[in-house]
Amino acid sequence: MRLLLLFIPLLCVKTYAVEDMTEFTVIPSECIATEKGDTCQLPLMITYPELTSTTYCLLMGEEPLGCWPAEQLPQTVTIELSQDSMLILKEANSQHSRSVNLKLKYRKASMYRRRVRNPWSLF
Amino acid sequence: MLLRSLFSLLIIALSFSTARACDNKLVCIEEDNWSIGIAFGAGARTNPLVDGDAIPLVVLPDVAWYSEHAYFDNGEFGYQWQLNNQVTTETFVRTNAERAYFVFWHPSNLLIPIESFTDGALTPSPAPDDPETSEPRYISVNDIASRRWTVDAGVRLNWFTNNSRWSVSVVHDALSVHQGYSVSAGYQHDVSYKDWSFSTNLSISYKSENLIDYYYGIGERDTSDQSLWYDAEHTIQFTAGLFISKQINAHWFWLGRFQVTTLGSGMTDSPLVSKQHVTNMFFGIGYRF
Repeated sequence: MRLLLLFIPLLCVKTYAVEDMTEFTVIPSECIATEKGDTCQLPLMITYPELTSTTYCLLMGEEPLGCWPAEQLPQTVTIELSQDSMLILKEANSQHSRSVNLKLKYRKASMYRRRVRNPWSLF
Repeated sequence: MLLRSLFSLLIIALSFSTARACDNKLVCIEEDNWSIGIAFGAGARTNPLVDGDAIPLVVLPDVAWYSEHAYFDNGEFGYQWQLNNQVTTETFVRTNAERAYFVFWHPSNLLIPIESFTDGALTPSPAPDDPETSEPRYISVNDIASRRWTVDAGVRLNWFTNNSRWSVSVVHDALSVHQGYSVSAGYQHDVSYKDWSFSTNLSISYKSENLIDYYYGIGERDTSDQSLWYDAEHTIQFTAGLFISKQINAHWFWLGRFQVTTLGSGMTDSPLVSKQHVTNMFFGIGYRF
């Protein structure tokens, strides 16, 4: 029983973290390009958390996409991925931010190249 | 209308480039992944030098790694640029292979020579009754001054068509040991059929006088007998080869290789050289990790 009591706070913390992460979400969060080196166009549907500030900015990694009043934040946005990235929702006048990860995957999992030397040609 | 036609052409071109993906298991490699293999079998590379033992090939390694530009491939370090879908160029450095005939512990021959593997390249004995050959015309590799090893630095241009590769390369002595150079042009054709992969190659090489004379010329450094002195000239060499591989399962495969290189008169006229060509063959089973 004591052991169970010890774990209850941990369970609470974990539950809180999950809820926090689901507040700011995008669908889909993965983009599939043909092969390594290709970029990928990703139309996103964005769900925002409860917004308490007046103005928010969206950023793709370090690159700003724009700033809007809370009630005018775009519900959809199309971004171009050249690598794994993060979409960040940031309050305009503070450092508070939330983010979601965006993954870039490839239909061809690996790039194959022609060797310049023949195999087994060391000798 | 013109725009639509151009767009159609673009789609066709993109389809073509996708269709030309490298899929020959023998010569293609996954980017950013080490390709390490080891093969066991029987084979040898003949040695054209007088008293030069053929080099037995019992264990063959295969080590390669390619990133987007930099690569290491069986002793060659290079940096490659993709000029377009069909043309690449690279700069590279590698050890010069000529010295492999002179010294045993060269990267090109790490295996113990076996007496039975000698290929008839022993010191030719002059016929005692023939006055023309009363003077020794040959000198043993064991009786000459040592030759230094060196590193080649070069550039190569490759043109890939369907299953084929044309290449031209120029390499120069990077350590100024002999200050020579060589120029090579080659053609290679690769074919895959089910579990079989075939690769044939033809090439021609020009080796400069400085390069040939340093290794195969005979002078005061080697012997005081001036009748053996030889100033080597440049030479032209031809190579033809065939590689065969048959996949057994995900890791194991059969492997066969046969290659012949003619040496050219600039080299074969040397009292140090007793053969007209070098043969390299190997048959065995390989494992790729």
